[in-house]
Amino acid sequence: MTHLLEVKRLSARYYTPGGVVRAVDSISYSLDQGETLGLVGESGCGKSASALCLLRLLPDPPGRIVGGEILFDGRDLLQLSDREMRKVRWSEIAMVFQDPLASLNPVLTIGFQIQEVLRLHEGMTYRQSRDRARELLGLVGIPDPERRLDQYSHEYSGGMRQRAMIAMALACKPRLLIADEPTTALDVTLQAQIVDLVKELQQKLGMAVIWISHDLGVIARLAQRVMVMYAGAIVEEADVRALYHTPGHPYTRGLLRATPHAGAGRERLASIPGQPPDLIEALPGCPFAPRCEHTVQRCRQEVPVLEPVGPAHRVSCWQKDGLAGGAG
Amino acid sequence: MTVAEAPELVRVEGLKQYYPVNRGVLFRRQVGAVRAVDGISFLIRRGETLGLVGESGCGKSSTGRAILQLQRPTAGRVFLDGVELTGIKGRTLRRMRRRMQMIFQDPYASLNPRMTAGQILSEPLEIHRLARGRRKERVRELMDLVGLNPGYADRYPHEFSGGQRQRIGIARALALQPDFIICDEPVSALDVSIQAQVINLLEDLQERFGLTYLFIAHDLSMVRHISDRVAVMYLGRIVESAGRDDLYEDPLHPYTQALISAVPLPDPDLEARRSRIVLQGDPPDPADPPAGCNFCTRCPVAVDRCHQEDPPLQEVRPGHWAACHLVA
Repeated sequence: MTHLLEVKRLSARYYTPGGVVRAVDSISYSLDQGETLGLVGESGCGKSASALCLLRLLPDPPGRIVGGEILFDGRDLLQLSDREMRKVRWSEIAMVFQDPLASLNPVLTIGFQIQEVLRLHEGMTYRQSRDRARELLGLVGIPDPERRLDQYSHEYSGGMRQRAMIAMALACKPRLLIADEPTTALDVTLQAQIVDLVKELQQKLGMAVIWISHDLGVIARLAQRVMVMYAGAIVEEADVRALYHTPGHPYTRGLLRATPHAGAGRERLASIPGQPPDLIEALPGCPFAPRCEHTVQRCRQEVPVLEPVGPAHRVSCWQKDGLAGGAG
Repeated sequence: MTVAEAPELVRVEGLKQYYPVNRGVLFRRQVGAVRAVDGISFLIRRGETLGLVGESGCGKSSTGRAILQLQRPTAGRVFLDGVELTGIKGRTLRRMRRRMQMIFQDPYASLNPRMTAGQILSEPLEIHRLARGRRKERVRELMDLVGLNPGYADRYPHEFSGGQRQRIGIARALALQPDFIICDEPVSALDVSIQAQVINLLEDLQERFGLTYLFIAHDLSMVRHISDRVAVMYLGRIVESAGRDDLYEDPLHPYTQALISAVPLPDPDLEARRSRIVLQGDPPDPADPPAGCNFCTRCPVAVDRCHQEDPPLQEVRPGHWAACHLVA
């Protein structure tokens, strides 16, 4: 069976006055129809940059994709003309961003913005697009959609705006939805609403989802498979249960231990010492080596490769055989 | 001596903080008020950490600012170690300020970019005329205390990482050797692995200097980790307060129950098993709170009485307070 999405050795760089930033460093992964992939990592690890590459939306300059292939349904997106790529966006792959207020146009009504997508991509008439837009707002749980169509984004609350963004992303029935921290700006009770909504819509519409987040809790709730990124590279990829119960990479274990668990007492949190590396300086070995408690000589000299440690479980660590299986 | 028997340090009685809502350009008149904090009372014992949780806009930060008299409260009284802060001003208030400090959320916005770390840390000493003749030494001491290299005293805030900047903010709060520190979302701008470092530092400092904290946050897991007692705010009121374990294991108020059930847990099996209370809609506008109980518009169990009568905060069990008609 061919995958819906297959990313091969994708690399992207930011060319800044201070030097070349290795934002995405030769990552490979695949995604099947209807699957939910969680992408976890801390700020600056390349999770958003790698997602923007899929839509070829990495701001250029300073960003540029410097190598690799992005096969969507067998076609390499990096070989498409700009015109062909525009057809892929919204219709095949749609994206929801963290800050809906920055993504919505404040001087156009919500209805106009959703209808615009439908008219351009689906060739609908005004009437048809209006009916469909109303239906979409209803689908994402916005009460009184007829009235809401004629309102502007400032008249929506934070949770409503994110719902409207999701409605817009779903307008052309995409086969892949990329959600880049869509609930980070929302309160927990609203976050729960949005996570449930996306899960429900996914089952209803059968689309694949890539959900990007720094919150391991949100990912545990909705992903089937999880990838952990650090310093532009994938350090671990596993089925959601394997990742949380038998994390293989020291960074993943560190992240899990640093998150306070329910039921835990007031014992100290296990923190990861130090800070993420500067991606401008090229490190000779594993990027996590300076913060890792298991570092050996080899880690400082050779970059580890992502290799299987179990069924559908890959870890990029020279010490993985000694560590795998032990819960964090 | 346990925390429960320790003498009280901070007492808040009927605190209100209203912000005027004005209309008109030429003839500005007040047409209403945002009731950010609407009559709350609590006390904090010496050496204790009180967690104050709630969603954005519930009034938790306004409460912190009103306690420190950074903003004069509209009504109510605040005492620090028996001295009424709401009744004093000028030099007397300044002298009390030495004993209470604040750590802010955003380490980018709360440090002056044109001052070096050393200048930032010696400024409070200059204002209060302390450590004369040995200020440089005291600055080095403070930096050492929070885990910063004292050799970096001549660096500017932008030369530090987010976690290090928050350490400068903590060192500044410690400069005057206060009794009481308000931590207003001190880690929410930081990455998970760095959050744990800062939380551990706050706990170490508390133990070493016998500090008393008011820990304001929206992250319920973090509040559970650090607090002795927790108060939950909704729309300007405290709806429930109790000992930490009591509150998290047996929440009485429907809002607290929903809030706790909405927190995503970093464990896919637990996530799949637990039932969640998903609240509908958004919190009401604090300028126009509903009649009766503030929570009645979103409460899953509200009865007629909730829409008419405002429930008082009552002690349901020893040390466990809730404001709900249905539990009292």
